[in-house]
Amino acid sequence: MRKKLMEILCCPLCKGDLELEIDEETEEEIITGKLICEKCDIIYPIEEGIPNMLPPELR
Amino acid sequence: MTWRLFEKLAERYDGWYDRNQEKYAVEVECLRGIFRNKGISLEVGVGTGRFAEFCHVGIDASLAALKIARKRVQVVVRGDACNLPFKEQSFDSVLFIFTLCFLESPEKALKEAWRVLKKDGAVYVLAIPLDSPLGQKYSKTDSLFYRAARFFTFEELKSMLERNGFRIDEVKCGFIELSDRDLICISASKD
Repeated sequence: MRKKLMEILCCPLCKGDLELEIDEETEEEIITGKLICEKCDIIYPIEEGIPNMLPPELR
Repeated sequence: MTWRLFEKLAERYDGWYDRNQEKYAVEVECLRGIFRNKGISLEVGVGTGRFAEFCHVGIDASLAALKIARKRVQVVVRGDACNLPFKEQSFDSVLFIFTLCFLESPEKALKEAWRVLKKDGAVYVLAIPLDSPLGQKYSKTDSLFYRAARFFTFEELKSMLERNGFRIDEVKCGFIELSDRDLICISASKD
């Protein structure tokens, strides 16, 4: 996932800001990590460079 | 849910474009004729990314489709059309290329498109209208993909857009197989 994407990403449910936790990265991309919505208490995983922003009930 | 079908059959779906290159070319041409390339664009239901030239960001619920799309599209995100994970006014264009017919709630997806579009942004809808000979044929075809689709008439598409805050700007038709109205491309502004 391109790091610049953080500028426009939000929680798909409450549309609030997300906190980013990086496990593996390159200069421009996040390969593995988590996007966390504290308000909804939901973790959106980033795996193989693709953020999974599906609401939990649709996963 | 329809996307689960694409999860299983992403490669087969992607192969359609190789097997039907002439039809694919008509679809791309039709969209080129109407698409105003400006700023940043999002394709909702990007699938395997066959229309990558029109989008910077692609979103789809199917991971299998996205793994193919990432070779063609700059940025891919897994997500739901009705719950877009983007802040309001993030995009200049939002495209639905043969997507609305596969969604459980196309109206909600259009509302979300409206929200993420900038003030002077535009939405583009490419579809096979039900009130065309090809739409009639597809709606009766017993294939895994067409059975999962709900085709709309041109009027239905138009009113759906207008109900969700869009103003129709331009409409272009194309010949795929049976008539000059096989394919319809609508551009509409955020009103």
